[in-house]
Amino acid sequence: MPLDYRRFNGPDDSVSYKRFTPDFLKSYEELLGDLLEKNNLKDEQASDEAQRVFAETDTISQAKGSAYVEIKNTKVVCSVFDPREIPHQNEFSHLGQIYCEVKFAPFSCSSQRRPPAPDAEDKALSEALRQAIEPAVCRHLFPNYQIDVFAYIIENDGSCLAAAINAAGLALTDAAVPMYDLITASSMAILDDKMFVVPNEEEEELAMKSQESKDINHGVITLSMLSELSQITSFIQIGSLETDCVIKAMDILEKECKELVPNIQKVVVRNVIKNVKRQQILHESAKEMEEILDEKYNLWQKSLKAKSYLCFSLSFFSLLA
Amino acid sequence: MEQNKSKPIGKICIPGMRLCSANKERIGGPGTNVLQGYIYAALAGVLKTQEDEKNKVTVISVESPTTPSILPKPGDVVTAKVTVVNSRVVHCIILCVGPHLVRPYRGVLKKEDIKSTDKDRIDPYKCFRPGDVILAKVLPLTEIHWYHLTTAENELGVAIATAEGSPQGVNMVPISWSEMQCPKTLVKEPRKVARIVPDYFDQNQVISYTDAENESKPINDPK
Amino acid sequence: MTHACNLEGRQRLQTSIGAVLIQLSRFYIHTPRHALHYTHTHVDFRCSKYHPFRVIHPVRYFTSYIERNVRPDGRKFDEHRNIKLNINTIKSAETSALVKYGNTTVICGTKLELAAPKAEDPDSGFLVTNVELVPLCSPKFRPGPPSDHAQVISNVVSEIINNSKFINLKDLCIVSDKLAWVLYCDIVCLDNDGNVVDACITALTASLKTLSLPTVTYDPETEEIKVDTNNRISLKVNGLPVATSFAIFPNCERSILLTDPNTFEEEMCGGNGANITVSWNNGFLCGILKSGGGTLSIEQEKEAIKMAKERTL
Repeated sequence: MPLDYRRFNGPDDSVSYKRFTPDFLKSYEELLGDLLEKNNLKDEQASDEAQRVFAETDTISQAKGSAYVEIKNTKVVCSVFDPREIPHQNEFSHLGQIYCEVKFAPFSCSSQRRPPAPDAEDKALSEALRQAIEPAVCRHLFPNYQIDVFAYIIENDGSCLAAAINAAGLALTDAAVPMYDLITASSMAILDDKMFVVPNEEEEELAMKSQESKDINHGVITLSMLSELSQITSFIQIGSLETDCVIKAMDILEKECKELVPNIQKVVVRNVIKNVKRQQILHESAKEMEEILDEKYNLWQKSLKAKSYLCFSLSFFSLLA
Repeated sequence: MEQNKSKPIGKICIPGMRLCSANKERIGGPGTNVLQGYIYAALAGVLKTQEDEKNKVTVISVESPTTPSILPKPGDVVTAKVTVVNSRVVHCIILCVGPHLVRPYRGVLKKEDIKSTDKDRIDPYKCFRPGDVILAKVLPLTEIHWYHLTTAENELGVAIATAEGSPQGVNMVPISWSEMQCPKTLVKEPRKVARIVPDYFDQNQVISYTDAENESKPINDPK
Repeated sequence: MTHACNLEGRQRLQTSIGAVLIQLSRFYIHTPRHALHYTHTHVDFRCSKYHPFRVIHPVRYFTSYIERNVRPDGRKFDEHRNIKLNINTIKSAETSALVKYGNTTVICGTKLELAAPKAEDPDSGFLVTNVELVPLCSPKFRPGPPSDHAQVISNVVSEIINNSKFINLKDLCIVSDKLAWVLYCDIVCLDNDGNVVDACITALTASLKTLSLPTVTYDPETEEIKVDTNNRISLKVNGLPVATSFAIFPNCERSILLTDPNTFEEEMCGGNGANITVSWNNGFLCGILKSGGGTLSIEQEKEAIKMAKERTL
């Protein structure tokens, strides 16, 4: 790998200390056993996952719109900037474009430190995010312009794409970008006959690992949708699954997405109320200023009248003369 | 649905909310989109209904309390900062559309659009300088990436300008429709001045301009 | 004004001037131009961020506040913004700290790794600090590799920490020439509203102060490494470095020092971050950096150093 000269680099051969802890050496079966045991301890909470989402708008002062979303331990911030011209493009595009970038913080993953330079996973997530939010935005309203959407994953504890889509949808709403509908997303990890709605990192990792000995269902599905219009904007499935299983998963995910909507709506309404109040304060001060300006204007008019009278009298006298 | 009817704010809309059916009496305005016979909200904001007397329709629109991500439309008055002046065109950056701040867009002002009269004898150098803040109107879009502007109206032209060599923040004062003067260094520079309420003025000063002007007849008046 | 008269012949204008001007006033009440008058008459901090005048004519906007001995956000010249600190919010990092200086938000997360020490320095561990200015924190930053500005900030922060002797690198060594800790401290700016360096230093010190190292046993013969995460020893730290940044606004008579500048103030004072950063640790200066901006007399520099020192006490 080429050396990154723009950052400080540690020694090349450094490894996370976690490699030397007893946990690291566990086999697939052991991990699976642990996971199932843990899940048995937890009660069935698939239905109330939607309640465990925390969302907030207007978190970044410098951005046009921004949002912060927390699902379980996954934390994502997202900011949206105003439309800008598409750099290096000569063709006229009738639809506006959306540029997405998803990045992981170097400390976001619990195992190894992530190198700060973007890797393939970042790029894949960026593309997935773009495809998910593009159908939700009224792109015909800003032809030939580009909206930048940046998502930053501060902590990754599974279903980070779903969190990023939720955050991006909120940030776009906060930035007052015209949208067809609120976008919500949810994800699920499938392992054999177990379905983990909104999986955490362990569950996701296990579901992604393919078992060579056995031919079982495994994979991760992320689904995003526009609930009011009942349209699915993106469906991303990684892994190998049976058709019946996928259909069943879709139903569950659709329900999850719909359950998320009231949550997101609450956040948006709160945001609107806050902004309207701020706008009212602005209007009040603007009114005061306008009064001052009106006064000034009247004074100006008066002096102009006086002046024109002077002009008139001057020209009158000159005529007389 | 999420409809808060608290009085001072009005009806709050969020994107995707179905507002009403679209028909001959009701059409969707800004901030909404029409899908399959219904008007949906496209922005998070406050619902506004407006009666259009002429066409006998009600325009349903959603107003966002934050500045909507608007683009300049033909006919809008924009505030722009001049960046480049050459013998044919003036380049500028659009800062405000109407009273709203926007992300900077590029604007271009052709020589013949600077003034409405005497189009052949316009010299852009005598109308604008880089750094001036101007008011201009948007012309129909003909080119990608550029908004064509015009200042061929009395109310349009230079609003704020700093004389060459004066420190930043010291604005020139208009002394005629084609000339401005720096209050510190008393340097006069030609500009295409916008007719707007001046920054500072007092009654005596306005009259004294007239006096001065009467003594030394219009120097810059091309008529 | 005279130009109003010149336009249409004076005689005609006299009769119609009233009507024209009334029209005019309504026309301009709805354009941003009228915003230009506001600053001379009114100071309202609540809406200062949304003031069109700030964009149209920033210099005049800024000076009109400075002339009144107040900053656009309502602070005095030597007043800091509120500081908020939140420790260990991120579970995936070893330790973490979230710091807010007003709107400026910075997160520092540490990661622990093991590596062999450098051959020329076998008794020392590694402390690697990086500052990322991600594009989401400000419209000025574009995606891609770190800009020059980001590299400068990264360098400044790492210099201050290294020179303050906050951490003895010898403490990070486990077995001489064989094994040492590598401390990755990644500082991410989530919201850049000025004075990133101070916030970075605060976040970094906070997360290092709470850091504890797991015990490691190293078998020199088999080269086997065993880590016991249940048995942790907290890292020794020395003092508490504090950086204080100022922006220098070159006013007519004398420059003005603005403590803890926000983005707008930084822009007005040269554009590339704060102009002078003074860092203290344990009563020792561990770095003064003057970068760009207005000129500064020796008295003022002394004043800045004094103000920074008072802050550390």
